[in-house]
Amino acid sequence: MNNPAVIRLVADNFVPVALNTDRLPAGQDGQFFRNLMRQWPQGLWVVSADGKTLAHHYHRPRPGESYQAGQDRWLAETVGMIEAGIQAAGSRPKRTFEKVDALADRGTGFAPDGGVRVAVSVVGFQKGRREGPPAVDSIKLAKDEWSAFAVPAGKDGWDIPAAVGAKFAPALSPVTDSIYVPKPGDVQKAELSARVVRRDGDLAIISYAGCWEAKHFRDGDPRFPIRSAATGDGVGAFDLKANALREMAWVLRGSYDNGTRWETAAVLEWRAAK
Amino acid sequence: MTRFLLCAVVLGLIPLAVGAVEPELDAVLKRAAPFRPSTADLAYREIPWVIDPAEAIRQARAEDRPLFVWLAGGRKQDGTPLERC
Repeated sequence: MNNPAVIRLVADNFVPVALNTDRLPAGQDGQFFRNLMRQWPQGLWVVSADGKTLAHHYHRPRPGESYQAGQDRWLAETVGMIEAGIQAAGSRPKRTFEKVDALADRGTGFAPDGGVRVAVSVVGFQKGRREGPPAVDSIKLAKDEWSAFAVPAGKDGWDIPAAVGAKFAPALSPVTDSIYVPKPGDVQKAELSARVVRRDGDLAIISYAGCWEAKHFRDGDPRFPIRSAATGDGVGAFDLKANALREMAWVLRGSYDNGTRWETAAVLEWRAAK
Repeated sequence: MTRFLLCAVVLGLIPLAVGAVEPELDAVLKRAAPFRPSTADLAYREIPWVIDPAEAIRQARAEDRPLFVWLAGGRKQDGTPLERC
C-alpha cells in the first residue's frame, strides 16, 4: 500500500476503509463487511455502496518464488484488481476529500481518558543486513500506566512496575504479522528504571533504562516457540510545573528467534503536541 | 547589546525559543534515526482511510462511490491493518 500508483488509484476513486475482522461491530454495518469474508477471511476488495463485490485480491506466495518476485507480483496483481474494480464500478469524477489521518494520535497527545498511544517501530537484521520493512505499531498506556514514567514527588530515581514495562512487548519483534509478536503476558522479564539527570527551571530531564525477555508460541502452539530479548534506554522531558511529560523517546536493541535469528532495533516515541 | 544577545544565542548560552530540543533527547533521537520508518514506509497514510465501518458505508452511499476495503485480522486481538494487526 506504499506504492505511489496504488495510493493514487485508491485515493482518487474510492472511499478507503481499513478494518480488523476480529473487531467488526454487531449489526448491519459489521455484517456488510462480514459478507465479504465469505469469499476470503482477509484481503483487498472493491465493493459497491450496496455491498456487491466488484473485485478482490488476496496475495498467496508461490513455492519457489523469491521474496522480490513475490513482492513484484503482489503489486502488479493489486493494481490489476483495483483497475478492474474501477472499470466494474463505472466512470466517476476524481474524488475530492479532506486530508485525514486515521493514526493521527499515534505518538502524540492524549486519549480522552488521559492515556497515551506511544508510537513503536521495529526493524530486523540478519547477519548485519536489514531485512524487510519496518513493523509499525503502537502501545496504548492507560493514564495510571503512563504516570509510571513521570517524576514522583520527592524522588529523583524510581523503578517502573514490571506490568507497565511488559506493555513494551510489541517492541520485541520485527515481524509485521502479529502472530509473531509477543503479548504483555508473554514477557517474562521487564526491568525498567528512571532517574532525573538534570533540572533546569521547570524542566526535568529523565534518563530511562530497561531490559526485557519474552517467550511466546506462534498461534499458541508449543511446537513453535519464539524468544525475544532487548535492552534499551530512553529520555523524557518532564514539565515540573504542569507535572507532566512533554516528550519521551527510547531506543531498544535486541534479539528475536522464531526459528531464524534476528537482531532487532526498536524506536518508541511520544510527544504531548505535534 | 543586541549584538551581545545574538552572540549568546549563537553560542548556545541562551536557549532558543520554545521548541528547542534538549540535548539528551536530541542524542537519543539521533540514535533512533536509522531505525525509524521513512516517509516512503508510511506513504500509505496519504490515503484518507476510514476506520469506522458505519462511517465508511455512509460516505460511500452519500458519494455514490465504491469502497476500497482492506480487511485483516484472524488473530483475535485489537489492532488495525494500518499497523500490525
